[in-house]
Formats: sequence, structure tokens, C-alpha cells
Amino acid sequence: MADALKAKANGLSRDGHEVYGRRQTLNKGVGIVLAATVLMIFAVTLVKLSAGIEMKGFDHTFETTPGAGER
Amino acid sequence: MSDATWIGSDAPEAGFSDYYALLKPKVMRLVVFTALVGLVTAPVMAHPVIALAALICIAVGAGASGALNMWWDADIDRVMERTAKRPVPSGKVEATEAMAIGLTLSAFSVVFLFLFTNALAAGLLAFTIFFYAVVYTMWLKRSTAQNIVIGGAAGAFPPVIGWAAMTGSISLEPILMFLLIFLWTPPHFWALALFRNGDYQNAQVPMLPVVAGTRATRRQVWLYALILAPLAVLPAFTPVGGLFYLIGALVLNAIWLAGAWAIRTRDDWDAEQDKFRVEKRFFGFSILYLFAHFALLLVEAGLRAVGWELGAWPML
Repeated sequence: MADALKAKANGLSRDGHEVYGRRQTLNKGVGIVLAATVLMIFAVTLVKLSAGIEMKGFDHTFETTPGAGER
Repeated sequence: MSDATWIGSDAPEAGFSDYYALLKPKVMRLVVFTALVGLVTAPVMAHPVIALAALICIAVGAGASGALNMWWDADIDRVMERTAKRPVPSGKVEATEAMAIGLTLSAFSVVFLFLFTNALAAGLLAFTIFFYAVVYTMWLKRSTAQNIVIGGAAGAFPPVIGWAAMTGSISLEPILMFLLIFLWTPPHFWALALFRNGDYQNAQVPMLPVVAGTRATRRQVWLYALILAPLAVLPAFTPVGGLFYLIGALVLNAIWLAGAWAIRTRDDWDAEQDKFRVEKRFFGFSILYLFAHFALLLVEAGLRAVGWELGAWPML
């Protein structure tokens, strides 16, 4: 316990070294950026769907051009 | 057994702010603002969520090209006082890491802009990134004194991309916005180069004062300012302008021309006497000049939105 405290005071422990603090900030920052990206895609999708955008997908059909099999 | 040796690098580990600095936030601010004006002044307005998403894509694309620039220019940045503290030359971020971030964000921003808006806007964004990272950074910057003239096109595209994202086309208004930034870039950077000449000389970047001398640079600043002034007033007579823009632009351009003329009529001896006061003041004003023109367009868009328009106004 005393050793751990001494190490912390010297800035050598896992909790105490400032590099871990910086890494934590980096991880949080990346997390927020990723969450914001997902939110942005979700919001745009909602807006486009509610605007009635035409949806056309491949839907389990093997075709290189959507809708080619319907012709 | 408790012998431990620190074998890590001496360079401090990068934090989130260092990666953010890779994207050149100051340049990004100008890009966001001018792109926003392109978006808002366009005759067709998409849903605000789409407009915001498009703006984010343009900003990230600009940031990505900034990261690619920092990767390629790390050797120059290390020598120049103004740029020595950037994340790559200071050793916080690896050059290859900057490249990876730049390429990834470029791809993401272009693909997302395509999915959110249209192919024209995405294509223009891709071209802008290519132009800044490859044509300007890798090719022109180290080879010609006209680097800033041609490279300035990269910074001039954001309002055009914003406009294209909303309308799917390009017309006279975004072209005039493009010309405003394009012709503004050389006098802006040459004014900086006049009082930062030593920096560029050390880094062996062929800026105009290094290659052609300061006298020729002063003449070029005046010439570009003279060509820009009437073009900067012209948007007043398009659907995005109006009386308010005209008055503002006339005042701004009168100060702009007076500043450029003051630079033109001085020599290095005068400049050294007052520590480049006129050049520094012109450089500072040039930033305000560009922001103010775009802010005036934004005001005009706001006035139109509330129905405050002049009945008869000459249009191009």
C-alpha cells in the first residue's frame, strides 16, 4: 500500500501518470466523434425517409444493377 | 527483480487536441463559414439536417487535406517558426499517422457528402482535396513562386461545394464567391510573406519575395488587390446581393485598395523602420475583409428570408 502510494506520488503508477490521463481524453474524444457520426447518419436517414425518398435495394436477388431483373 | 528502464520515445504522446490540430482548425473555420454562406444563399434550401451534415462533410474534407499537407510538409514545417509547433514537426504525431488520418477522412467525407447530397458536390470536394494535397502541397509549393496563386483555388471551392450540395448545379453567384477567395489569397499570403520572408527563405519555399524580391511582391499585391476590388463588388448585382452588400463592399474595398497602395509605395527600408506595421495591418485586415464580404451575403440572405427586398434592383 505504502509502495503504491509512493509510486503514485512519483507519477509512475497506472492511475497517476499523466500519459494515462491523456489517453483517456483521446479515447473519450474518439468515442464522442464516432457517436456523433452514427447520430448524423441516423438523422439524415430519418429526414430522407420522411421526405419519401425512393428506396431500392438488392433484396436477396443476385444482380449487379438494381432493378435489372425486373425488365 | 525490480530493475526497470524507460525505453519509450522522448516525444510526448499525442492527445485528442493534437489530432484535432492536424485538421488545421483555423483554416477549417474559414472553410466552414464560406461553405455555410454557399449553402444558405443557394435558391434551393434542403432540410436543415441535410445542410448541417453537408457542412460537416465539407469541414472534414478540408481538415483531411490539412492533415495530408502536414504529413507531406513536415520537413518544411520543422524549419519555419510559424509552423514548428504543429503536431508532426513537434513529434507528437507520426507523419504516417497524419497520412492515414488524412486519407481516411478524405474518403469518408466524399462518400458521405455523395450519399447525403449529390455527385456534383462530392466530386467537387474530392477535387478540392486532390488539388490542395497533390497539386498545391506536393507539386506547386516547392517548385514555383506562383504556388499561392494556383493553390488558392483549393481554398476557394468551399462556397461552390455548399451551393452545389443544395442545388446540384453551379451558377454565376458561386463562381463570383470562388473568384473572391481565389483573388484574395495571393495578396493575403504575400503580405504575410513580406514580414515572414526569413521563415520561407530558411525553409527554401519559393515564395514570391524569396524568388522575385520584395519590390515585385509589393507590386503584385497592389495588382491583385486592384483586380479583386471590382469583382468583390459584383455579387451586389446578383440574386444573392443587394443594397446592403453594395454599401458594405464599397467601404471594405476602399480600405482594401488604400492598404494595398500603401504596401505598393513603400520599400523595405520604410518597412523595417516601423517593423512592417503597414504589411501586418493589411494582413490582419485581409482576414476581416474576406469574412465581412461573406457575412454581408449572409445578412442579405437573412433580409430576403424576412421579405425585406428592394423592388427594383439592377441584376447581372
